[in-house]
Amino acid sequence: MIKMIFKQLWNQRRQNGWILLELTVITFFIFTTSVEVVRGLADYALPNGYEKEGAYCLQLKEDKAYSFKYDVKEDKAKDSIFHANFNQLLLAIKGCPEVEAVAVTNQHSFPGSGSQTALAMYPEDSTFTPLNTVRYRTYLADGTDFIKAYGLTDAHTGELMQLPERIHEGRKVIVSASFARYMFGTIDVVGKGIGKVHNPSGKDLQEIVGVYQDFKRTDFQVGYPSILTINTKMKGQNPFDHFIIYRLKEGVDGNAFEKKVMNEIAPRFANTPTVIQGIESFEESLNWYNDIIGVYNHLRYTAVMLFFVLLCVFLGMTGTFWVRCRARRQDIGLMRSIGASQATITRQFMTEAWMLVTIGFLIAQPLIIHYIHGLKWNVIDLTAHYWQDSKTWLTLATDALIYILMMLIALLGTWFPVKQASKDLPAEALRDE
Amino acid sequence: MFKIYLRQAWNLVKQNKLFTSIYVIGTGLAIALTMILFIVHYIKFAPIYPEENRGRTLVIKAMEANTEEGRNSQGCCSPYLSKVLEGLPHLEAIAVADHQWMLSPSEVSNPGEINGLKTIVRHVNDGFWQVFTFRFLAGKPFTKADMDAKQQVAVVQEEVALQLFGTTEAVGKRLICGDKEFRVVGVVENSSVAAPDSYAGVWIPATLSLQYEDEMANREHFIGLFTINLLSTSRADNDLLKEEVREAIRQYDADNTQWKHNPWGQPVEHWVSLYQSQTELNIKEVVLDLLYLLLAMLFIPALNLSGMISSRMDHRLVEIGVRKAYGASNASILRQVLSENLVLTVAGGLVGLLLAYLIILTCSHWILGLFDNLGLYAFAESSPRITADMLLNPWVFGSAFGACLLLNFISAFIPTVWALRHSIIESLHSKL
Repeated sequence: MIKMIFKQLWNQRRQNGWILLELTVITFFIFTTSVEVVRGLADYALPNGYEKEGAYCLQLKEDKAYSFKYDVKEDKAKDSIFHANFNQLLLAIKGCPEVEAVAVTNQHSFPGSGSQTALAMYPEDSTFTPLNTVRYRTYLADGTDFIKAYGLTDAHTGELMQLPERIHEGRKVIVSASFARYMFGTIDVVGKGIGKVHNPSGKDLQEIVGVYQDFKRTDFQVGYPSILTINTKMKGQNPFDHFIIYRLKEGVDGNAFEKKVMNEIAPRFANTPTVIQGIESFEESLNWYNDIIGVYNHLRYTAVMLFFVLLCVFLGMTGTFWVRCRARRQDIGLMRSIGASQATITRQFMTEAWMLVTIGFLIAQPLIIHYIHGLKWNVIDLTAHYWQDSKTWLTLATDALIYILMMLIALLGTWFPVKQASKDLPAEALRDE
Repeated sequence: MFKIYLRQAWNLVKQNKLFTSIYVIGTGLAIALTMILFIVHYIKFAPIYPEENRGRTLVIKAMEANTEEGRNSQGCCSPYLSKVLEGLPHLEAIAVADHQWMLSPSEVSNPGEINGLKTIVRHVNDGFWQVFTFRFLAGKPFTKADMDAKQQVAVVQEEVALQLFGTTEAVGKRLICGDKEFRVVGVVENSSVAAPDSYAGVWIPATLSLQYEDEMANREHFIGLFTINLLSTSRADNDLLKEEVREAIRQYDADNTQWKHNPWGQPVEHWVSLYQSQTELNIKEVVLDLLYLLLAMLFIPALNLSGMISSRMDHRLVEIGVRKAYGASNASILRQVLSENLVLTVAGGLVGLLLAYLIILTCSHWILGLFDNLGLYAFAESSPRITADMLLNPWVFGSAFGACLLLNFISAFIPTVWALRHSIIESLHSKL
């Protein structure tokens, strides 16, 4: 049957040429439009490294009466009203029975926070090439637990991490799995030292006290090598530069708790240096971030283009096979009169459609290979090598997706006119013969 | 003759309803996407209120500076550069404004009221009002004297005035922003986020910005947090002004022992500046990407339509043979087929244009950023105001018709020429 269909396709090569050319162009076009999206979606499917659900960020602002009144020197010298007020606010949130954990961070240290800080880090007693590392920062105040508030997971076990016991001693740091692998070739790095200077030793060193699974700062990117530095003091730092992160206990309604904070706690701090401005969940801040950096628009663009070209495939196949069925009405009548069933005829035309899509798809492959080789590739993770960072695997995955989509749409487009034609009675179809 | 073609086209429509439907849908889809691409770029590039001088505006929004010791600094532009550029022969005015990346909504309120509204508050200089053609409903812009005296004055947008004061006659009224009180000196007609170089809800003198003052007083290089828009004396003088600006920067670098600047090819025309980030811009690549997209939007449906027209021409070979036998030339038959198809293409084009308008109006909050990732993110919370003159203008209609003609030509020309290659005998003998 395949041989016969090949012959049919060859005999009608001029009519088939148009749809074949269209299928080839569309295969290439969909590939160029969607390859980066497939990569982004594969990154999206990776674990976040933290628990998004139930985590919230308290937005603070400076009260007008206290604007420009914060003085670093004064704050370092004695307990200032700014820190006293901030600590009271922290305690008020922490004291709520709905809250499981709280943490204090700076503005670069939560998912979707818009910006990030990076610094070069060196491993202990080594002249190793430094690694540009994302730095997250937390401040230890009474009873805060960054790890629990974020729901960071242990790189070894994949379970929720515990706050390392010696964390309060100072000069301690927790690192991500990819950071550990790049620096030391392993994730068994607890006890080792890292520093901000070349060949660090002694006082320049910070001791690693834990390793967490890579933390994805945004949904559509793999976790960049990062470290979590722990500041044991907040003095000398303007509290308005900080954020209070909290995690609610399981089953607590986030919206109801937000209302409670805004109605009961916020008014208590209305005329103090630190005023509560609002609350944003990690989910909301990630949505905002994905929106402003254009991730959602890129997805929309790909969806629009996919819809457009797949509709073109559908219309093209419907049009082509509608014309073909009309032209071969007599053939169909003859086949029916010598005993071919409707299913046999439908199968034959569907096989033709499948072969057209497959040939068009195969013709596009050299173009795709040429394109993917020329693509500027930005491999973010330095050690993990996710499959989507390999051009070969990504091409295969994207190709498979395109092939399946095009095949489904093409077969659907073919099915309507073929089904219609195969219903004709032999006598009717052969009338013009 | 065209009347006969039209009648013939209408008969064909009635005979082949499925063909017609597929043809119109295919064309409509292609025209809708092409028109979305065109309208989005029209809004970004064309002279729209209050950026009606886009044709003779040159922009500097990013800069790099290096020292011999290897220090490197990159960022937006400093107002300090405007001092160096003052008095250039082909420069009419300089607008300095907060770079859009530095903007975020601030709370603005009426004195005595607790709840205000959130809007963009932008620091601008007095030249801003010359470069951008705001229409004042009341009052006037603040002046250089206001700037120099650091007067706490503000120009507000119509919408802001209505929300704060309930009227556009708001000159002399007071508003609170941050810890300062401002006197309203002017109210302007609403503008759109689609004009991001000038957009704000409230404009206040740049000298009230500590950043501006610091950059004007203490900078040795041109890196800061602002954007500079230069208005040339005429569109024809754009190139002269570009060269003058580059020469002024070169001269400054020659006199300045420490910092050497790389303006990354700036100043550039408004449309080029939309793609300028803090790095060297390859505008050729951007244009090629857009052309690739446009080509795909027209070429893919055209292939579709070509296949269908090719099949239909096979059915009409006898008709072609008869017409040729009675002396019709190939050119007249080609003209007839193209005209018949144009009727269908224009019908599809109308459907497509309406669809494009519908999509743009309903998706205005994200559609302007669909084809790139630049420009509007500072205003993510404001939905761009799409006005009638952005959609209903000769450029849009002309380009829609042009796209129809192009689509019609590339889809119908080759199949028709192929069909015409048959001899009269072959055509008359064909049986399909």
